[in-house]
Amino acid sequence: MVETFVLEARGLEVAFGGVPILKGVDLGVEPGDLYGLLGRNGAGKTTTLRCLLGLLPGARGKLRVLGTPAKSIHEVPHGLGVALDPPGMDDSLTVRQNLELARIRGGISGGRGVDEVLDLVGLTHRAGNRGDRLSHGQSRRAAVARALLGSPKLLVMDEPLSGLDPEGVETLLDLFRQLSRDEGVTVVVSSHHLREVEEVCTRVGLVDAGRTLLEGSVRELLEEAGDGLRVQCHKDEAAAALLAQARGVRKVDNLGEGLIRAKLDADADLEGILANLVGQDCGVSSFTPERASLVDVFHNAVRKADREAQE
Amino acid sequence: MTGFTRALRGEAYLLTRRRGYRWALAAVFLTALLHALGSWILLEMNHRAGGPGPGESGDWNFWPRFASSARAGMFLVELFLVALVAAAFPRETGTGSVRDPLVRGISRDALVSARAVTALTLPLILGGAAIGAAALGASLCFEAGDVMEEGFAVFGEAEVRTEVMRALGHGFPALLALGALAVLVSAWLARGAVAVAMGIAVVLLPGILPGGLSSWAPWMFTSTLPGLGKESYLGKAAEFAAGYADALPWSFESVVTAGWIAPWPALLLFLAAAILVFRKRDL
Repeated sequence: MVETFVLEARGLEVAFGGVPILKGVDLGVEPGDLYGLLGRNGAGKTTTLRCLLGLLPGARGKLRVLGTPAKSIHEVPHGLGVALDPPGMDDSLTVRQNLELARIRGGISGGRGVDEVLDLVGLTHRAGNRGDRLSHGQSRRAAVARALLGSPKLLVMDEPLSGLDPEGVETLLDLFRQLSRDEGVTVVVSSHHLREVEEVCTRVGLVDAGRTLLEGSVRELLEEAGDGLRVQCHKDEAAAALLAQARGVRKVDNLGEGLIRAKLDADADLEGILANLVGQDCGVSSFTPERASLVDVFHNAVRKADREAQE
Repeated sequence: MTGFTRALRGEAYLLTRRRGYRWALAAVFLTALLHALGSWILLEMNHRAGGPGPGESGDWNFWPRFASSARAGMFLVELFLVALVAAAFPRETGTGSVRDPLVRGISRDALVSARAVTALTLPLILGGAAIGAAALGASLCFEAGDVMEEGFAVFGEAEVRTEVMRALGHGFPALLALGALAVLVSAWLARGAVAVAMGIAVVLLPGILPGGLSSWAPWMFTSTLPGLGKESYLGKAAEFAAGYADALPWSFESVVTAGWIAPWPALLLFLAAAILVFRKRDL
């Protein structure tokens, strides 16, 4: 049977001390995906990844990594690079020694070596520093460097951007993009940095309160969310009525005090809408198109989940 | 290369790179060496104050000084063994570094087994350092030969040497079992301090057993540890070599026998238990 997913969780549940933490996580990462696992702090992202990597033996559900059950992760053929949270640097070893140790334990002889991965993450100048002498961001970079050793086909990164300076974020995002595009590496990144994830990821899964709220390609989710339009005018009721009748306008919210927000379909005619509002003398003082973002997708999904939980 | 082989190579790398191991080695070596030199200084001061000099007392003989300095080093070997090995997995779990080998084709069983090899090698290395430093220190300051007391030979050198060498060997099965115990508490307990405390508590247990149970103490492997053991053969041999004939009564032979036998089943039990508990551990 051909495996569709390189990383797959179905009905993932786990409890700590009798308290359920994950209550039904479903996600599937396809080969070549640059996949963003999103969620608020404490949503269950790290726990999900730990379960998928076989680090929590009490996890239940169908969990597979590169076609191998997570419980037998040691049987996964070489080609898995992992950088979890915490970064997992041995404090008594230098960065270089940590990477050498990983190379030895992984039996890695080909592919990227220690110097190359240090250079890729911009940490060559810290190679001689011990793990406890690194800043939070440097530890993250070192963990990413370790995950890149050899020729991994699947990279699993937990909050790799956390604690990084803007330059570091750019470096890593470029790296992930390059690995995915040029080498066909599947990259899974958990994060709550939605704007950065939106920039690079092709697919995302959103986890909240231990459940998957949504999963899909970034493009489809953004299209579904729709671009927005923000209009400030003197005659808001008239303007809202005009907007509601306009082609390509999906939803109109009159927020009062002259402020209207609308959701647009991809075929909305913005110039026509503006001309109509001006022509009908609605007193438009500002007309601002807003691009849909993962932040909107995220907030909408979370709000919807919160409402359903309250009901 | 199998996962176990790679895990073993990783452990060898750690053994040579981690500062803790190097400091332990240096501390054990210096302790045994300085113990021998310190003994010489004390005996010399005593001699200048009118006490017995070389050749006049068993205390000036190489063999008792070597044995007692080796025992001083063994105290530290046992403490370091528990502290370094027992705290390792809890610390690695805390920092997350234990996860990396497990996603590199090394099973939990292989990782614990490789760690066990370290825990069984460490007492040989540290114990060897203690013995080597004690031999060096004692040979610099004391002469070997028959054990003399007031000008008379109390024991022949061969007799004393045999007891001391046998006592040195006798301590190693218990040390190996202690290493295995350290692996078990390391694999089992989440906090390093608790794991170390548990290991030390087991070491001290024979000394605090109530009267009815104390006859069983020699069958607890920790009784026969060369340093901290309540029934340390090395301690008795050091006294014997200094001229105390009653330090090794015939009845002690049963304790010696227990010390040869008891550590091995304990060692196997601890290692098997360590592998089993680590399989279920959240990492």
